[in-house]
Amino acid sequence: MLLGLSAVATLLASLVFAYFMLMFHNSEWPLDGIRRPAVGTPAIGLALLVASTVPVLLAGRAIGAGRQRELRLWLATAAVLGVVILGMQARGYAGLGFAHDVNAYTSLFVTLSAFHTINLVIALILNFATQARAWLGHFSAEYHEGVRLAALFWYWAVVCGIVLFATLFLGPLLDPAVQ
Amino acid sequence: MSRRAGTLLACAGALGALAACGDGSALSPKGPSARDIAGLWWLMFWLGLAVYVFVVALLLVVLRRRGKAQEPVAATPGEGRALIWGAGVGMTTVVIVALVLVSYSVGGRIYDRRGTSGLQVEVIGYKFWWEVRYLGRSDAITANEIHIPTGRPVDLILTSRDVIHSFWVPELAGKLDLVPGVRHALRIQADRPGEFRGQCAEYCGVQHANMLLLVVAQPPDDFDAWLDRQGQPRQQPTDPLTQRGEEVFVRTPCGACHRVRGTTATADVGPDLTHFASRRTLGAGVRPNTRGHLGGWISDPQAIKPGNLMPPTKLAPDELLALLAYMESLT
Amino acid sequence: MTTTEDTRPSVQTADLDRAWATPPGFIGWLSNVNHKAIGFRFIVTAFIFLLIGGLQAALIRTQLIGPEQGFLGPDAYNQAFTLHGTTMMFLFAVPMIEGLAMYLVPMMIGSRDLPFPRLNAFGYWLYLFGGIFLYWSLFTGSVPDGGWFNYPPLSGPQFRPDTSIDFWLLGVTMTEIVGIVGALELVVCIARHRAPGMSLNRIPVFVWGVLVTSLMILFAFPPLVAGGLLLELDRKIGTHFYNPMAGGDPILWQHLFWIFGHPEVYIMLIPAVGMLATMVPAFTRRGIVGYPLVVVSLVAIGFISFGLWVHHMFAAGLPALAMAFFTAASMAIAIPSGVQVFALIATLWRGKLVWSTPLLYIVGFVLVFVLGGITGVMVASVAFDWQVHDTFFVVAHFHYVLIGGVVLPILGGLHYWFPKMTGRMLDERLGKIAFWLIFGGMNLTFFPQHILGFLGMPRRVYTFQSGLGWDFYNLVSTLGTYVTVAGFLVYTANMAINWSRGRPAGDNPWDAPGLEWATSSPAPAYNFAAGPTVSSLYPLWEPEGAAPRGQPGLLDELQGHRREIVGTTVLDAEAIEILELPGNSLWPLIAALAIVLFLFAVMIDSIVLGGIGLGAIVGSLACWLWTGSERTHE
Ligand code: HEA
Ligand code: HEA
Ligand code: HEC
Ligand code: CUA
Ligand SMILES: [Cu+2]
Repeated sequence: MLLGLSAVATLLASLVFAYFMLMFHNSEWPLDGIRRPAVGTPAIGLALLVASTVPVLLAGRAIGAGRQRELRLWLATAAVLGVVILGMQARGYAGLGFAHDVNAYTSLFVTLSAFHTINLVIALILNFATQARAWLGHFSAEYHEGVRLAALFWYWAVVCGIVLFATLFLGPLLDPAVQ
Repeated sequence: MSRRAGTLLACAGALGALAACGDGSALSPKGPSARDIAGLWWLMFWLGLAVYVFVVALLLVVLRRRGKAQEPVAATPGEGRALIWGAGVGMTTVVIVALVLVSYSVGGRIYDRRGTSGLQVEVIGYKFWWEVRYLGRSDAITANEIHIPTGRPVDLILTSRDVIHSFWVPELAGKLDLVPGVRHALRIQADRPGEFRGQCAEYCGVQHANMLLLVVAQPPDDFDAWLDRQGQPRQQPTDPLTQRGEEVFVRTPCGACHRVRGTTATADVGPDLTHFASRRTLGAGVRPNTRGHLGGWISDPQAIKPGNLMPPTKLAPDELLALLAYMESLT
Repeated sequence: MTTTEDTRPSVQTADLDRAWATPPGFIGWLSNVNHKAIGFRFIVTAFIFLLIGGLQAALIRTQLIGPEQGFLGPDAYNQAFTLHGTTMMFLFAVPMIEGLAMYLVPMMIGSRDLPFPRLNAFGYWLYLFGGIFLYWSLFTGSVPDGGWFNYPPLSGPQFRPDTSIDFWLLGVTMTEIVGIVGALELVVCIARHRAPGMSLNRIPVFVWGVLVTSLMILFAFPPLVAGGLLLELDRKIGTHFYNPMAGGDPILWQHLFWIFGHPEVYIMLIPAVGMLATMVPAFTRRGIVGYPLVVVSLVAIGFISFGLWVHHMFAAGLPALAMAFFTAASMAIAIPSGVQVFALIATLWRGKLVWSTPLLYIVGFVLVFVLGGITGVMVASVAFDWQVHDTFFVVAHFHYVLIGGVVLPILGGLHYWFPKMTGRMLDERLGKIAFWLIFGGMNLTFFPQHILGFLGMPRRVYTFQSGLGWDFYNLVSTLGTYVTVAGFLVYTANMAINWSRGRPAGDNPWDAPGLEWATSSPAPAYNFAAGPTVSSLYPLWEPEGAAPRGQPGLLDELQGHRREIVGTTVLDAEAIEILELPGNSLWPLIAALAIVLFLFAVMIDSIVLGGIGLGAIVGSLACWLWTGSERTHE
């Protein structure tokens, strides 16, 4: 699983590489007079995302100690957070004011954001599957691979979110033209 | 036997390398850049040959040895260390450090020659032909043939209007890509008058193979005269036949793609034809510029250079004759 | 051969046969997940692709036999070299290596199977469908023709609006996924399922090579997947990543491609060299000399190879300083490569040679690969590369390293392990004839191409004019190709004839030291009835009875009536657990079909079909997991 994630992480790294390469390739960034994206709301989303690691962590702890109810509770908390973040992202897309096919900047913005959203959705699906199995009582203190894997992917989605936040919202500040 | 094999190898290699020195070759340099690189090559060649001969000779000696029969055993630790460290690590390191240094110094020398040279020529790649513009002489536009004065550096500004191409004239300099949206500078210089063949070196589609060009180095005076001429509008047609020809050119689709300065044909989809008759080749080097080939090209360019972007044009025989006469008058 | 002697009464071979049996019939064949069955399918399929790619090479060379030939038109020629390069790199070399690894690694390290058998089967089906997908383009008339590195803008929506490039992108992406999946599996197998006692210093070099290669794949393939994704988005939904008119940059693709493309060449080379080092003791009667150095330098090649990619872009106009770094890095890789070569020579020197056909391939490797490596070091020099980049000099360089460093070892390896796979020996005389034809033919083909490069002949030209001094060398080159083709015909015939009619091989026809020779030929589905233990790098050369038991306690608990394998620790290979593997299943096949359906929908822009495909992927994966999950490691 870790090995698999490292392959996905390389995929992410490649996309980030693409972003910065095109940023430095152009003398203006964002292109065509598009304004730099506002950091505010995404930053709140990011904070929530980082915060969501706590319930995921606690869920793992709980099942490690055999506490089934707590496991379900924490998983559900994480899921609620995840759904809220997704909602915020959806609103963000709606208010973007540009589509992917305007220029290279918008293409990058939309594609990289979508990459994060997809990862978050997969993390949520795994979370729901784990919740279902938790209700069915599949896990025990000794055997809870499933919880661990879902948690691992969740963490990955968080890392991905942090990296992409830094790229999309802070990255443009690195552009020499900004100074 | 191993010595003989080694000598044989050396001879074969040297012969092969010498064979590569014929005219038109990167190893018969006609300018400083190409000369530097050829020098680099010969150094690398002898070093490489020495390494190769060493490996082959060693191998032959080893293979001819008769080891004694023995029970199969694991290698003893440390065995063969001298060979592996000495040759594998030691010799290799020495050779590559030498090569890296020489390579840097040659590369650096070629870079150092950059800077403003006075004469700048813009070369723009199109699918399967080259547009050539003399900067500062906004009217001097031609195609597929670059004239340069001898003994003087010329900076080529390379860019592309469609896909990536690569500019390469082996006798003068190494190659550099023509990338759309970017301008690259390549300096060339020819020591003596001559015609140097070049060819697009980055795969650019169907007719990549026939995207050729010619660099013509001339004594400075001849060059100036040539450049002046290229800057002029077309030769005014004087006799009825060429006048008719110009009319055909402007009226038929030709004028929709080509420019002939001084007429109403100003399009830039295809090569500028203002002084077409002064060029040595047609179709970016696929054919020599003769009347027969030109007639064939105009009637059916797709038969000569399948997939190029000029469509065939249906003309009545007398129209074609007039057009040909006109084209030949565009000196 | 004490290591495998069946001393423990608890293991019943009859039980094992039942537990590891494949259901009869075609459906049973489809559902087979055993590593040898899957590995064998990989090998056979990849070999067929080698022949197809070679056939295309013969077409290419026939067109170039002389100036102004009309054998292939420009379109057909461009398609031919695109398919040739793509087939050889994506459908032959990597799958062949992975197939050999899947077949041999579990046997070499004393395991009964790979840890995720169904993932393995999934990989095979996706590979097969990826290949068919790519070649399907031949029937639609829009055949990919962007070359094997497919540079935009030429491959972008502006210049290639038809589906040809989509066939290429999606087909190649499938094989990339296969590569990643196979790599995951091989890494886990090598890390966690070695026979008790097979500590790091007792792992056969081939297995080391596979490990290094697999780790490289995990980091090298995703950049191309990313690059391909961006290109496909450009083509399908109008993004502008590579479009210079809207702020994109075609050079981005070149970086992403070569960050993959350069490691790719060592991904093929490293296990191939490992294969040689594993074979050579059988023919020198002596272990490989300098084993630790060989292993360390394989790892070093793996690392350094990620820092070389720009050497494919020296003519793209990048900053001088950056290029200087890549010159030094590229040349530095000659050091670990030199270690490999001289370790092989030292082994030949210390041993007593047995002149069987595989030894010829080993010697052939040295002669051919070293020449290609030296020209590689030459083109690593920026200034020199400005002249020869994209000419036939480079074509000569990479065929020398590819054929010398990858094809010859694979052909030698197939010759060597053929008895293990089929239980029959190949004919030595035919084998030697084939070797000499291929070896001679390839030199005749590619040596003259160096000269053509200097004479100004760029690569990827479908024709050339006479009078440039190119005619003679092209003619020789083409004749050389015909000799090579004859060699491949003999080689293939040798296999075809002796597949069922060859001399029976016995367990260990070469008196080789590796564990794979400790079981019968061909091996039973479970490889070893009792789990073998290992006490040296050359278990079968140990004097009788010298092999101590690792942890007999745990091994004795291996059951016969379930598919079980042993899990061992990463460093010292101490047995710590017994894992149960899932059995045959059709879901891998169905999941692969679902992916193909989805990608096909992407290609023809059908949202409905795409939805069905996506649903089918999710559904089949769910069923796959439901029908008994594999016991995964982290
Ligand atoms: C198996 C595949 C393989 C291998 C092993 C190599 C090995 C090497 N390659 Fe090659 N290469 C390719 C496959 C491979 N290559 C392909 C497919 C392309 C073309 C892609 C395309 O454009 O389509 C290419 C292109 C390519 C280029 C780009 C050329 C261009 O497009 O202009 C360069 C430039 O640096 C390069 C360099 C090297 C170097 C330095 C090595 C080194 O690793 C070689 C090291 C080995 C040795 C040197 C021999 C053994 C050492 C000794 C015996 C010690 C003594 C030696 C010395 C002192 C020198 N290669
Ligand atoms: C492992 C990789 C590999 C291998 C083994 C080969 C093998 C060969 N290659 Fe290829 N080649 C590449 C990888 C490889 N190549 C790549 C990556 C490119 C770059 C493509 C690009 O530019 O995009 C290339 C490009 C390339 C070119 C340059 C084309 C151009 O730029 O215009 C040429 C030209 O001579 C060539 C020739 C050959 C020849 C003659 C062989 C011979 O060794 C082949 C020997 C013959 C056989 C292996 C099979 C024999 C056939 C039969 C026995 C018949 C079978 C019958 C049936 C199928 C029914 N190759
Ligand atoms: C649709 C555009 C188009 C039309 C119409 C067209 N041409 Fe062209 N022409 C081209 C292009 C593009 C080329 C470059 C072809 C190449 O070399 O790949 C070219 C090349 C040529 C050349 C060779 C120039 C050189 O220096 O190599 C000549 C001469 C020429 N055209 C004459 C004509 C004449 C005469 C007509 C009318 C009968 C005509 N063209 C109509 C597009 C056009
Ligand atoms: Cu232009 Cu190739
Ligand atoms: Cu490389």
